[in-house]
Amino acid sequence: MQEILRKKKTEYRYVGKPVRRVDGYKKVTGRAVYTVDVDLPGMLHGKILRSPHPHAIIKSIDTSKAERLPGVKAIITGKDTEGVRFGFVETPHMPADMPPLAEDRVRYVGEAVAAVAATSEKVAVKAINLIEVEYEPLKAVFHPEEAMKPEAPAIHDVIYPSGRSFWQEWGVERDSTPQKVERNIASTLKLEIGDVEEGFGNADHVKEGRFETNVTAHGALEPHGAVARYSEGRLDVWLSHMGPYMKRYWLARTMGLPESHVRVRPAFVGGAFGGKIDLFDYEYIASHLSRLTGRPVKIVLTRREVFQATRLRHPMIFYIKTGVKKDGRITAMDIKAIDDTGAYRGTGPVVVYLAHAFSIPIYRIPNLRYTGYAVYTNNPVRVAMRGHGAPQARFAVEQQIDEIAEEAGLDPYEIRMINARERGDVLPNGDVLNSCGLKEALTRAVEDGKFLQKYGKHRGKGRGVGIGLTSMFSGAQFYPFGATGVVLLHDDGGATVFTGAIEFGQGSDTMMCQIVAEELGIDMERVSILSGDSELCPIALDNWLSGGTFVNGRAVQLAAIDARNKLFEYAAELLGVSRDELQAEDNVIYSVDDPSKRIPHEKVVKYAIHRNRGQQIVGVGHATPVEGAYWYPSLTTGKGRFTGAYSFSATFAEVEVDFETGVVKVVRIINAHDCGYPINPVLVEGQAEGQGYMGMGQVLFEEVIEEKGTILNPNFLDYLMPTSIDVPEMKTIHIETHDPNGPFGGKEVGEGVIAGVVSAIANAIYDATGVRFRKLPILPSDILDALEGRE
Amino acid sequence: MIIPFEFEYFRPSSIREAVDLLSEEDSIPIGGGTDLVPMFKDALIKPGKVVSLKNIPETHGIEFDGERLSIGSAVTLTEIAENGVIREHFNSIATTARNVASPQIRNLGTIGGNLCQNLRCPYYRLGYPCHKNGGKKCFAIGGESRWHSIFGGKKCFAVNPSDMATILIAHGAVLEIAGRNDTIPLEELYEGPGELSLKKGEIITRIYLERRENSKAIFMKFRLRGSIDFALVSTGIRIDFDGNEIEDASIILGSVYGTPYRAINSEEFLKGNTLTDTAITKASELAVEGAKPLKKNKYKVKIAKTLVKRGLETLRGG
Repeated sequence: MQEILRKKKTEYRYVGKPVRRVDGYKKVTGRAVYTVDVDLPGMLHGKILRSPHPHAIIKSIDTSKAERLPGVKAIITGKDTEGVRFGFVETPHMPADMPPLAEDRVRYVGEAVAAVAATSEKVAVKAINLIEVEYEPLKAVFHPEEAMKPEAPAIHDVIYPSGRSFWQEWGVERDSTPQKVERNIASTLKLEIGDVEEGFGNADHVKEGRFETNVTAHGALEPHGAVARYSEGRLDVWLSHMGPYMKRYWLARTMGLPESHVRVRPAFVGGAFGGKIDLFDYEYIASHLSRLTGRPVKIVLTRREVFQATRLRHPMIFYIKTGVKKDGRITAMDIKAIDDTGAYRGTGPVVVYLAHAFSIPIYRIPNLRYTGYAVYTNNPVRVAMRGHGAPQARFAVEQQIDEIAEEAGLDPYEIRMINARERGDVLPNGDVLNSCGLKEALTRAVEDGKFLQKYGKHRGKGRGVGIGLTSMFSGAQFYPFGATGVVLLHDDGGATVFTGAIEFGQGSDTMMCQIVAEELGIDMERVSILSGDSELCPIALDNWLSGGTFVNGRAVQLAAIDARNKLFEYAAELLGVSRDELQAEDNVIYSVDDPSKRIPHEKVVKYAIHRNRGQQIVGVGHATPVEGAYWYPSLTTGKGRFTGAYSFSATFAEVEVDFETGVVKVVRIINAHDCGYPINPVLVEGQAEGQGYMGMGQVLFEEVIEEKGTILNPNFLDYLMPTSIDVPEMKTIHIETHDPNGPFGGKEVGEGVIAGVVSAIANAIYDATGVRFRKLPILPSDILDALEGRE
Repeated sequence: MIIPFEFEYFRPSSIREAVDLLSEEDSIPIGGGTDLVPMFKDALIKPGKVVSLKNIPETHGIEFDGERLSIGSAVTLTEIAENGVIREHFNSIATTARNVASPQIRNLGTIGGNLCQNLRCPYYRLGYPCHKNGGKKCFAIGGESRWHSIFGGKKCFAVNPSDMATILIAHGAVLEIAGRNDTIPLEELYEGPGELSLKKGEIITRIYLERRENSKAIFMKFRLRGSIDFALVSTGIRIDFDGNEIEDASIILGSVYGTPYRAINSEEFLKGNTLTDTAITKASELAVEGAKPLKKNKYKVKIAKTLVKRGLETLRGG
């Protein structure tokens, strides 16, 4: 395979350039069709009746009044979906635990209890209000540490497998077993590297602390919704989501269909941020109601439902102990993490693993113990949200690093440089850092922000600076385990890319087109893309796995190279030259040795079809997250390869604190980010800046206020996401490290940065106030209380 | 999201017609609908008849004769914020309007609606069985009280959220109410949390206030974000001077009590005083004298004090 494009980086025409988004025109002119816009002939509207109780037995459901309402076409309850289960996590020992409709018991406020399909949304709303449910409330528990006590009410008893998991289907030779839930613990991760006690014995300074993070919401502007059309044994769905394969798998499993009979269509997605990954009750319910009625069914959630009944960020508690030598070298770290995963497992076991896995590439820690619990409570269910465990862990660890540095008489930059990992490091799980710009990022952020000149200069006087480090994966071995890209060349010299990767706002489509235009030497305008359609496209990692560029982009790059190789075979034939001397640029293929020998792409493609038995040129490429590894790491031991490349970033933050109002104003955020190579620098900056304000929101404003399982601020007026005028000055510094396995050296950028932002702001607030805040968010009331305590 | 019930919609073109419609059972007046429509969607209130006040000539227009300012109740907040006369002679009122909500909401929302808006308490808005929803308790007590009253309450501890009320009361605004012979002071509109002195069928048609000589006024608003949010604490302050000496002072705090809250002790203290540092500090402390914060809103006391202090400092400065 001709791998190397004979161009220098400075000669790239499309990659590395701030190319305009290919989906931009449709979006800014209002022509983009989102799931909420889909309207099919004969379509019914669905509504879901949800539990007002955090924990209760369903004694009876009377749907008779609702059934008599004109326009009602179908009503279903848990009796109609008995035994159906789904979940983000399903391993042989952790069966899927979530029913689409509660059967005998509700476990959180917002759990689906009954659903209606009717001729209009209005009729559907009236109908669910006519359904009478008798509940017997049970004792509920809302705090994970309370839930772990022996006397706490048991939220689950034995969870039984609902069928063969995909791990089994794909070759894991272990039978699924029932899980007896003890002390409400959904999962436990335990690992130890080195000898922790010995490590602490060798330490000159030891610091311990408890940290607690907040529940936040993704805040995607487009609410969750689905349109399902079931017909002749096939299911066609439009969803607002982040990757068609997880959705397709679970719809097929729950509806009892082969995967290939479920088509997850591409639709524009109005934001996701991790909140639209796994299967949701309404997606299954719309499909079930469509099968029942023979008509398409649409369900769009209200904003309150999105908050209360979909998913939120995991709030986590960390108990951390760190030991360092006098010179700042970390000798040992002991971390206990407790995750409140809500009433169903959600991504609990995964976030507990990731809080560790996203930390381990940052510092060299010779002796490490990590114990993590995902714990059931009667709160709403939690899932991934940008960074998935990293912001939680960084908030805790990066602050403790600053604390211990101060004790050891080192500055925060120094202690990080002493312990930061470098290229070539092999992690305890076997992952190799083939590229690592961590130290360079840290140094650049510190220099650009004049950190050392400012740090500690106004301690406790209302102005402060902070830094934070973070790392993130670039795809992992999770279903469907890899990606295939297809590039089809047309007889006019254009090309179409087919990829299962989905565009949900992050810029995937644009990045793919840039790669193909560059590899084929044709204009961007000649490249079109068909992405995210589970039937028409070859598989790709769902984009929530953060392998959009590194894995899916790589597969498409290899497909384009394959197409180019075939193109060059025919071109060599037509030009009478050797294939190896050919180059393609400006829609023309030419000989590097004799540039007068040239031929446009379209002539070559026409020749291939016309004179070679219809051989339209199709390039195919494949990529996988980790060569030679086949499974996701163990969620109970942490063992096993995880990803093929880590990205890194360092954040500098500067804040001002008003001691009379407690208001923290972020003045400046600088993110120095190593994404390997920015294939589209503007999109990379957009990702970094988006995470800048999202991270700021998580520290200063955002808090899903849950009281006994009910969210008190389930709307965009009372849930405070930063507005455009709250956004500080932001700067992105690109650190180029060129990962050998990424397309053009590229790797992840979409979700790591936020963790550095959260920790840098927290550290800056300490510098400004002289008070360490160990709980998120940090609101004016917290600042005022703390300052009063200080006085 | 749809409104899940049916109602009749009226758009009368005269006061008389509007009063007749609003005297009927199950009717409710509506201005821009920025507060009411979301409440309809949540089925928190389900009127059978909705009567728009926006098509009545008497509820429109901003007039100023050099002495008295007159604002129609259906005038939008954007109109107030952008009105040349208000900006010239009553700039603090224009500033207040500009600090309400977002441009879209200000384009629709009316001054009458703003003054009569409902409570923001989440327990009330989410349909908890609290006093306001026909129940028996206030969930903020012992619950989430970060938004609630710092000056106590009776049954309900929700606060009056109107920014406009603070500055207009500080200016001594009065209301013209259809069917009544006399105007009433705006302050008398408010009887308790979510309770107005308007009787069934009564509508506010105009708001009046007088221009004062040697008077300065300011509006201060505390919220977490730079836009959209309701105030956590706000204040409208007006000071009439006689040289450097304070002849009269009006300090109204918003979002701290069930009605706009007059900081009467600081007003009294300031009269006859001058705005020295000591006087300002004292006045700001007196403004929150007697505060009885709930479990989670102690911070509002400090913020109210700071707003008054900074407001007075600004008035002294310029």
